[in-house]
Amino acid sequence: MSATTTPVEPAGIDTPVLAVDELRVHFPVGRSLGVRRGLVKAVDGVSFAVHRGETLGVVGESGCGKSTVGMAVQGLVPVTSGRITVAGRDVSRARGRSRQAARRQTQMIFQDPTSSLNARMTVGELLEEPLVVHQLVRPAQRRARVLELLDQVHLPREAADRYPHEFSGGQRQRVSIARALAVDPELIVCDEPIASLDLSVRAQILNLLKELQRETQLALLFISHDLAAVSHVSDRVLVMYLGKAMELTTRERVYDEPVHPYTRALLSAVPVPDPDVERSRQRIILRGEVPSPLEPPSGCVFRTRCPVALPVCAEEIPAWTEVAAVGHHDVACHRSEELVTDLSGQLADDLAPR
Amino acid sequence: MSGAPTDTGARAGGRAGSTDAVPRDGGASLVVEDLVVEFRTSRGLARAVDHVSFEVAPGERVAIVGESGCGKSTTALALLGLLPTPPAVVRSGAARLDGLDLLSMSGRERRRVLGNDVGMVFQDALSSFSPVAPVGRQVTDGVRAHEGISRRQARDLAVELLAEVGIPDPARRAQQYPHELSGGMRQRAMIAMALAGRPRLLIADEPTTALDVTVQAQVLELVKGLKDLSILWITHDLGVVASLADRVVVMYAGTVVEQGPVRSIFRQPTHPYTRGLLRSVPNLADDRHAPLSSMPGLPPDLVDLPPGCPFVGRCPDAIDLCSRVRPGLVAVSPEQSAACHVTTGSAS
Repeated sequence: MSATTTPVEPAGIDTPVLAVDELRVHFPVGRSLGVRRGLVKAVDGVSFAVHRGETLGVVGESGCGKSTVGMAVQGLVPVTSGRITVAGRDVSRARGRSRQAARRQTQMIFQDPTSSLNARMTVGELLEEPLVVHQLVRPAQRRARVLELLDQVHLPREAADRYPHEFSGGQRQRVSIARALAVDPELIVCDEPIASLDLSVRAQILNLLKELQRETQLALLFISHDLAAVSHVSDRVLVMYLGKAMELTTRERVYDEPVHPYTRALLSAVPVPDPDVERSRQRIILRGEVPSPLEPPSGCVFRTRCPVALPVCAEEIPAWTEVAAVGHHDVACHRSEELVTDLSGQLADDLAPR
Repeated sequence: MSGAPTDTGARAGGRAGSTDAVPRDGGASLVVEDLVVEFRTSRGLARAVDHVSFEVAPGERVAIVGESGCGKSTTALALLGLLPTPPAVVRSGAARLDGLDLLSMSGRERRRVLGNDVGMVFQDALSSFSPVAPVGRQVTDGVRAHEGISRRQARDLAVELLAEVGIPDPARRAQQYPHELSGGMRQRAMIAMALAGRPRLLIADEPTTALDVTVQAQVLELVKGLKDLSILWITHDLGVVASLADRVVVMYAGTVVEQGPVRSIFRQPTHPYTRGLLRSVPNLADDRHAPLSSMPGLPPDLVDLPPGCPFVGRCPDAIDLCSRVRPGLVAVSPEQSAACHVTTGSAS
């Protein structure tokens, strides 16, 4: 995939709602005494697409760039290079009126609904605001639309006249979702939408998102560090590490037949709520921690923790390639073909959980 | 785990304050009885911990699991004497460490006992360290205070402990300040600090919640390898519970609603809250197409608790009795008990 040669397609039935192509978001950091100390490559050459009615899960550990991807899609951080198209329209450098139009097509919900909702506005005002900003509904009909939105997220209609602090975290997240829905978006970016919620409330929000998607064919970009939640809501999953895409395929393949050594280690690290499984299970325990994004390793960024790294991994950045044997399964690993076809012998031993 | 038969003195209950309890190999015993903690709030008294009893046998790893506000952290802080009073008030209860009641001790006595026998690990390692002293010195400050070892011995011990918890290049790390360590390394250093006095009980409050999963896996591996230690581990993560605990205490709205061996809690949960919680958590091994079963509603207001069962408003099995009479813990097997009128069959 190249950033410069793909023409912008006209919006059609097969046009993805969101197409991200070779996205790079780099931040200069730590100016001291006028000298720039470094550049954080928060997102460094990531490509993916999300289709109508589809949920793409983005997983990875802190610093992998998953939230930055979401913010770039929503136009909240400047794009260094690459392209983001929403329903066929390039929005990565859109400004002014076209930026605003793009913002209507993609909406975002955040981890903490308490800080993302203005505490001085009633829920009704919060839901009306996007209608006013985007001039979507005649003033006389706004109230009706607000009530409809409350119905959609299963909040009582009386909620319209109350303030965010009067609600629980889960209910406030419902308000955030209703607010995102207000403008009839094509895509909602959900950045850790359940991380701040209590256990028993998380399932309610996950189920609500799925239900809304069934009703409206919304596309969702579901960003989370919680692999179990991602596996539950996603159709396809993108695994990121230190600003790079490691693996992208269907949920079934990611969880049942992961190829990339990082994906395997990540899945193996998640404790499963089943004592029998946990006690019999062997783990791939990665050494060390994610390196500093200020000094990412040369070649493959994962190689310093990879149990099967080769000398070539330090020298060359692995290409983003489709695993030929299966299709619809992209991996950035020098050993991906070996990992798919030859899982016996030394490679298997090195990757075997211990 | 200690294989020796144990008598923790828990159920006998009559050994309150007995000072002749014999310390055992394989960790300390902790018995918490009838603990009640309230907080003064602007809206009235909030009962954060409501007649909580449980025990940790020598060498046993017990997890307290529950959602925010269920009282799990308050319970731990109360028995360590770390609650700010006011607003907190410990109304009643006992917390016996090898028979010695921590709650009736003077602050000085308690510090001596805790410093020698109990290690503590919290979620936020950065705020548990002083920013102005090297990590190595802080790891052994407690030991120096309690055992009077020399500065040099302490330095060697710090390096040894940091190595033990898997910190690479421990001699250099010991010289560094907390902000120079990564999150995972700080968490390990805090575990090293907790282990410095060779405690026989480790109390850990959400110690891996802020960590990435691959680092959490390293820390859990480390903790599972610790010997001769009883562990009280507070978490909301059922995966961590399944991975680590021998026994589970499930808390809801300040009360223990169920407790038992980890396998029976996950296989045969009795309390409707435990059942609901287990069903509502997405699991990597689950059928991913089925919607999650979700629990309706919210936990009750601790300032205005219902007279009956605190779970009644959300319970699918509630009967009339549940809103009137608070159920007590009833044994459903020799090792498992639950507080429910309906599912334990105690109503009939």
